Amino acid sequence: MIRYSIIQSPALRTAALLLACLASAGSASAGDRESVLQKAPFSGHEKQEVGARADAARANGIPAEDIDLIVSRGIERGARPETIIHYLDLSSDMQRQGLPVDAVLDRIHQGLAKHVQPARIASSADRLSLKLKEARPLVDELIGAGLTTNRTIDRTRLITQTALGMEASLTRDQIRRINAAVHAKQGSSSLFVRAVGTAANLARQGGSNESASRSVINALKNGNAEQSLAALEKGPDSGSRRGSPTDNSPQQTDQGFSRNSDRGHDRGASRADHGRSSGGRGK
Amino acid sequence: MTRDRDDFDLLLDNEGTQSEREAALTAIAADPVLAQELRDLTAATRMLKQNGGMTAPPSFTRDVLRRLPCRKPTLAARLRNSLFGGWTMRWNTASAAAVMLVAAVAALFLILHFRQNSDMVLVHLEFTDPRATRVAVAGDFNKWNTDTHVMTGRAGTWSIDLRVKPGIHTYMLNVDGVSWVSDPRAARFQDDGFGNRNAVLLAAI
Repeated sequence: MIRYSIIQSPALRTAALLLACLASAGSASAGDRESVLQKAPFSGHEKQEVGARADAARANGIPAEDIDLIVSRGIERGARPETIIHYLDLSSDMQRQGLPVDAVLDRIHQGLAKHVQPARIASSADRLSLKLKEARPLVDELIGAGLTTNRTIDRTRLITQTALGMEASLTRDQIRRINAAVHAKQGSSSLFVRAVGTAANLARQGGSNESASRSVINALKNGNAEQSLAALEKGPDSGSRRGSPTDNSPQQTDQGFSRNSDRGHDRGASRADHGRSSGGRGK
Repeated sequence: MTRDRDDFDLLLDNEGTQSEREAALTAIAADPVLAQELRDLTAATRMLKQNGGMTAPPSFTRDVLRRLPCRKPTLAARLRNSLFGGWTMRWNTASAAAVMLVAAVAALFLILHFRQNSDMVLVHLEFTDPRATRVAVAGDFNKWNTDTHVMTGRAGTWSIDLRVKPGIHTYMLNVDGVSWVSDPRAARFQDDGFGNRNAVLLAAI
């Protein structure tokens, strides 16, 4: 006699089918990654190694979507297997240490999307991960000193923003002083993030980190701190460097510059027409 | 004939009144064939009573059904039956628990999904570039994907309504799939770690 199904009960069969659908949805992305990996111009051993590290990253709690994106975009952008493995291992390491892995994943995703050289992405992600490690105890210290978190800006966000400030060469003492100025103003964590961001931008624009932090602290002492910080950022080198090349590789540089030189005038006009509107604000 | 059967039932099952049973016995005794049958049936009944009766095994119904001659239904018949035939659900505690578990998981998924969407903040972005043929917004909210948030263009003005989680987000505009452009209308910018400036989006509830 032929038995059509092991599960006789229709109810159990329906339940099993639904569970199977859920399970297959979860494993579909792993299958996609596997197929992308199989098509990669890597040796068999290299493919195996990347696959194993991807599985390890998944086991460490990195979301499957991020892993798949790193592997598929990495292959697409011509990253070497060891570079992809480096991305995966770095993410796993951050996750294991309880550091804000999203910031590092974002840096990797962003670099790959913008066609930055894979090795340069790796060094940038490494640098950020070091700064995140340094920022965590500092943020905990600042929270202990009265810096508050809220729904929009939680501790993870504070660590990330502080790390970005440190990446722009701000020192711990300078960040402590900025926090003290925010605290004196009875400002929120949002103002702290804004102030550190402004100081980082000023430091990156060529000023020294000391003068950048001092300018920010002075701005915080003014009546409307937010407006003062905005005015500070609007300085001589404010605005966006629109259409700037995203990489130093000749191909990308050529591509970026040709597009930018063609379009620069129009975009300049567009900014002049509209000025700083409320674009980019939640409504 | 029916009358004879009724007489048998009266006698074998010990039913009816005494006079009815006596009348039945007289009627059967008058026919030698019926009298012999009654003797045989009485002996068989006695024998079954002596053995104490038998209990049918749990597989009795299934075994009987299995021995019935059956033809494998055609594909069309099976399809018709599955579409229009009635369903008999045989429930037990395990199957009910399994279905309830699946329903609970589905409900939880839907609640989380709607709660997540209800927390989203709507943001309107605009960008002007008369020469662009395609403008997309890529940022941390879509993992820098240039295909998921493509702006709608009209007379050189490109716009999009974004739904993002509350918080601070960074993004850039991707023009024609080639150039990465900082949003000129953004109020804040942040270095992207590669020498470009991402626009900063503060999405607050």
